[in-house]
Amino acid sequence: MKKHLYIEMDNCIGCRSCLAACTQCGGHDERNRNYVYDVNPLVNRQTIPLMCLHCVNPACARSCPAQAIQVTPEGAVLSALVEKCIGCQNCTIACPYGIPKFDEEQNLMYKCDLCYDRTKDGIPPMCASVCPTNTLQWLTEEELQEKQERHKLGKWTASHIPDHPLEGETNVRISLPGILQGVQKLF
Amino acid sequence: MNRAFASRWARNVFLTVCGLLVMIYIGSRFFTHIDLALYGYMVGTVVFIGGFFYRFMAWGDRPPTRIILKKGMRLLFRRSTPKTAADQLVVYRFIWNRGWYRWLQHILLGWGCILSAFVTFPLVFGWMYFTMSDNGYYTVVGFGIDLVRVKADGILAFLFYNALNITAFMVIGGVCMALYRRVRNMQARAEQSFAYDFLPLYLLLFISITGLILTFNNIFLDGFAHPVMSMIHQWSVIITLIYLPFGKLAHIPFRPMSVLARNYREHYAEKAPKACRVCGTHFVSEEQSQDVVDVLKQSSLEFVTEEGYHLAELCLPCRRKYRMSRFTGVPTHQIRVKESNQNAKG
Amino acid sequence: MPKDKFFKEVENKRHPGERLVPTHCSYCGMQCGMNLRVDTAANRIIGVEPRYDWPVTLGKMCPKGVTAYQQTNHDDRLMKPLIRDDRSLRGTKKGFREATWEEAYDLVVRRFRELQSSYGADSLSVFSGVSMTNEKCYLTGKFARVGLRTRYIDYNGRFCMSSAAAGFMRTFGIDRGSTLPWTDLHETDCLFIAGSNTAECHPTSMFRIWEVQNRGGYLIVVDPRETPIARRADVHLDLRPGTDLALANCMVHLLIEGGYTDKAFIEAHTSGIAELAELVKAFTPEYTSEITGVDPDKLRRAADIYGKAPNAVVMFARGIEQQHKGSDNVSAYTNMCLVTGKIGRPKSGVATFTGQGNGQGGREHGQKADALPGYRKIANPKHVEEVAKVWGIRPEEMPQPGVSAYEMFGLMKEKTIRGLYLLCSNPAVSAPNLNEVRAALMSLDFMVCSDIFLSESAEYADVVLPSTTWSEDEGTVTNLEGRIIKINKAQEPVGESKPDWLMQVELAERLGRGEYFRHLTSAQAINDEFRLASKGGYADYYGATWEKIDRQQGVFWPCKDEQDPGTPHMFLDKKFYHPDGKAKLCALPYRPPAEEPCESYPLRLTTGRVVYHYLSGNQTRRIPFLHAMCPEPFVEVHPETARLYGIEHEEIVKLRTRRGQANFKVKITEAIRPDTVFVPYHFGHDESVNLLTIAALDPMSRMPEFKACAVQIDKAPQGQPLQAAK
Repeated sequence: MKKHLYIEMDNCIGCRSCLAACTQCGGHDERNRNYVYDVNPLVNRQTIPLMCLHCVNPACARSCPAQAIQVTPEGAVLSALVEKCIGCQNCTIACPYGIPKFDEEQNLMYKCDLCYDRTKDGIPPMCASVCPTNTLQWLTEEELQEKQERHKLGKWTASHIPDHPLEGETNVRISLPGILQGVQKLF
Repeated sequence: MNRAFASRWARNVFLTVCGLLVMIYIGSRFFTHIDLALYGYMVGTVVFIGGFFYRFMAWGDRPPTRIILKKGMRLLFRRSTPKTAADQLVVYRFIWNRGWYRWLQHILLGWGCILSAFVTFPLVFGWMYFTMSDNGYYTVVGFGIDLVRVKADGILAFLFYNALNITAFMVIGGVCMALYRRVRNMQARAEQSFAYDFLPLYLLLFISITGLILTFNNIFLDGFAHPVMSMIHQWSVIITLIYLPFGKLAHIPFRPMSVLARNYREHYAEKAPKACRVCGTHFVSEEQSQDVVDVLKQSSLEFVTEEGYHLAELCLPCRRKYRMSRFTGVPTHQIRVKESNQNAKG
Repeated sequence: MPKDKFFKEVENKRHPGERLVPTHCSYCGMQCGMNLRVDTAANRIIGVEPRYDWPVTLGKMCPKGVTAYQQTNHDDRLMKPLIRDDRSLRGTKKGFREATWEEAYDLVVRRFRELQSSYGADSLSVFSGVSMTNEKCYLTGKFARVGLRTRYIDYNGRFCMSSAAAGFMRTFGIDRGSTLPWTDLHETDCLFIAGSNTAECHPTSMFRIWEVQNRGGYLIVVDPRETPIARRADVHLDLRPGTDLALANCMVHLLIEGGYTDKAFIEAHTSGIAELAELVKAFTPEYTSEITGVDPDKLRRAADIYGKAPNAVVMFARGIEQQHKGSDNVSAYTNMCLVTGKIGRPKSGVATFTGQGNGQGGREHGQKADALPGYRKIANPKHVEEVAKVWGIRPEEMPQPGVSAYEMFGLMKEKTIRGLYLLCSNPAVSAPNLNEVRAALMSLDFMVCSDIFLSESAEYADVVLPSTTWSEDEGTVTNLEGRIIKINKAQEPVGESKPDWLMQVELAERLGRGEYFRHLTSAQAINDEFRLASKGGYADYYGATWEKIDRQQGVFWPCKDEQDPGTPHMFLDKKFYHPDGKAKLCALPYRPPAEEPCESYPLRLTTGRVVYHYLSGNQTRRIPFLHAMCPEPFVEVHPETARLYGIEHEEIVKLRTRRGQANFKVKITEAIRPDTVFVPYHFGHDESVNLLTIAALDPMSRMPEFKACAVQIDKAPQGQPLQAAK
């Protein structure tokens, strides 16, 4: 059963539990691979997590001279294979979302691999496991479908659609801020 | 000239094999010192050359690889090259930074394999051989020139005879460390496959063990089953050589690319650093930024911002904040506030 | 228990050579379920794995919880007892030497005896905390009264939950922090949350809170700051700090005026409606707006929503409780539930967000100056008799009630109290008006401190005893729902550290009181005695055996016997715990904060937490991830105010009150009222905002007014930039 990471941005409270949990994944070498941004830091407390969106046509892998970035059958775009990565950092420049991190000392790129050791066994990734707000969720296709219908979501599974929030088709699905628009109040 | 060959591959293989023949001719004093018992290795080498060129050229034809190869080769003679090469190819400093365990494993495996090759192939091609003129002294002959005279029962001679035994132990140690890691490490367990990750380790282990058995049989069993063991050992080497360019071990011959990549980054960053289109921070070279843009275009990927910049022209934090602006309409990337820590370790 | 809609069947990731120990977090009252990963060969905690099957939090954890396991084998852990011979070095980290347990015990016992023989039994005091198990909290109370025979024991809940406790006691006659289980929250139709920065202080409640909105329900938040939860609220009542009582009275006024009251319920199950109705008459939205600074229309809208909601839950936390009228605020907000009858049924009720891990259980079992196990009172001779029987002492031997936490420091300065046994608390950071508190600690003749790290308070001690973390011992904890849960041991104590209960048993033996403690050889043995001691009390734990806790995934108290499954929902029979069986509607006249802004101190200072740190930060500031995320305190200033003072983002300014001053980095944000500044309180030494806070105590709960005092900002003089405190 294929599952997707789904980001419901409006829920984020900026606790960065996802970052802390990322470091706890079996093979993550205690380094986090995600980001949480203050949207308007001098004005309010809105935050949004930014994770690798696991593009269907990943620019990082396309730009890699060493073919070090593998895409799994489930669609997870993995970290650079340690033996292949030559440290050119093309991927960090190519990624339209600025996701891959680079360790100068180890001459090695690392990025979100969707906790492949967990997700390949059907266990949710660490970030979605711990997220206290359900900003990050690990959903089946059916559950995503439900979300889409319930929130009248469009192509990007977003609750309101600016022209192009993303740069291409992604395996991670997002819902933009404004999730409550169109929610029928109980009374 | 090019039209003389069916393909670039054929040309490269032909020229390399010819070059090798010439080297053998010279090195072995006009074929007088070829050890014909080792001919199998020679055949294996030729097949390896074919495979290597096939794989390397397919790889080098990919646009991002071509750029780094071409530009990196042009910059091969930078002042920093010897240091970079020594760090990356000799002492594996970057692997040390990934942890002592993996470093030791690589030193054992890497240098075990390289030293074995340095001993084996000169012997195979007749580039190196031993003669005994005086009693009790060997002369080591390299490329037809007498290099050094060593006492037959001296330490140096001992090292020469036993070089392959020592490297065999190094490789076995390295393989065991690698296997242990593959059993214990969760990420390794998640991503590994038998054919890609385990097979090469087993092959190396097989070569090393059969090599050691050969020595054992010679010393303790008076050469018992020597011809059979010798064939098994030889075939295991040949199969590994043929397999090498296509599996995980390919990273050994491809590793020098990292020196090219380093030169490419350093040279162009000195020449013309790229300033982020939003915040002005230097984050890469003009050249590489443009190269990546071009490469992506060939994969039909073009990321253009509202302002008409390519996203590869934005530094990473600004690129991420720009995404916030796409999500919310708030121009996060224009707000000059230090971003919160994104790299805290666990 | 039935699984709720968030539950998903998930297998845990299991690594070879490791076992998973199911337990709960060491920090706040949420007590999120977690599995500790333990290296089997080394018997060492090495990581954390979500506990997907814990019904309250379903594997969710905040960043503190994720990294909590790093405390256990932290480099800073105290491994051996420390003794400081040179008393002139008190107040610093210097001068400690490692000692054996025997030497440390001997010194403690000798000094305790000297002090008690010269100055009487009450010259010793115990200052405790509730970040430890019920068993330890219970034993600490017994140790003070039976082992040391002193009246002076109190605990850091006075800076945390005492107002909620006093308020609920007055209104209901019983104090269980939540009248309903957390698994009801997402099914209610309206949440009215006052003075709780839930998103940062109890983050794992948030998925339930957002679900109320996703279902079309309403979220009303009362807070001077636009916290992450207020950002998404349907109505945000951004009141001035310290004016909650007016706002609560106004809500009741509007509920009565709007006809939202449940007359039958009021008639049958409450007393005091006439006085209340009379009192709240004055609190029209316009009048209340003058006091609170909240737009009258927003007040009306909030009352309408709460009034119309079929089910609603009123929730609050330290924002309303840490005031010198904290218990009044609690009773006043609880009035909202009572006049509308939205209590005593599923999906409706009132709840406070318990701050400390065992803030609920720890206050029930006799660590409070005036309380005995099972929420009994020392003032009640029958209660004393019941407990004395369990303890094997004569009722006359029971010491008299003592004084509250902050007042103990006053007695130290007066030399009434000369010796202190401090455990599980860090008052040198967390108490108000720190200059006074630190002076009081300096004036002690002898102080022993038990902690896992060398805390700021331990710097004042003569002897420091190495204690264990939550993961090296077992026992029960009562979470913010009133659910008794089980903490499990995951590894052996590091170094020579010992659990606090063992130290107390061993000290009692050496103090010649061994006969009352000798039989308590394990946490389980203490649990058996403590359940018996609570039997028949308000907080009756008698039926909550460890086996039942495991089987039922926690037991809600009261749980009177083996057959009793516990009480997830309180007051389902509409019976309250006052003698008349009714809840009391309290008519509470408004009082302003103890210190109002004036010309010299024109702004209001309020304090609180950030998501990365817990209480005094003694634990969390040492965790690399948490420290990296929030390494230093800051002061939140509204841009208008900043413009007025000519200060900029990231600039360092001096904050000054009548009691003290400290330098902080400015964080400009529109998410705070222009007349208010905010500083988080997790930092020690001269970074402590509690150097500035006021110790005005609530007359009932003795809670200091952390949440409101008058402050002035000083900009750095030209050319002499201020240094951030370090």
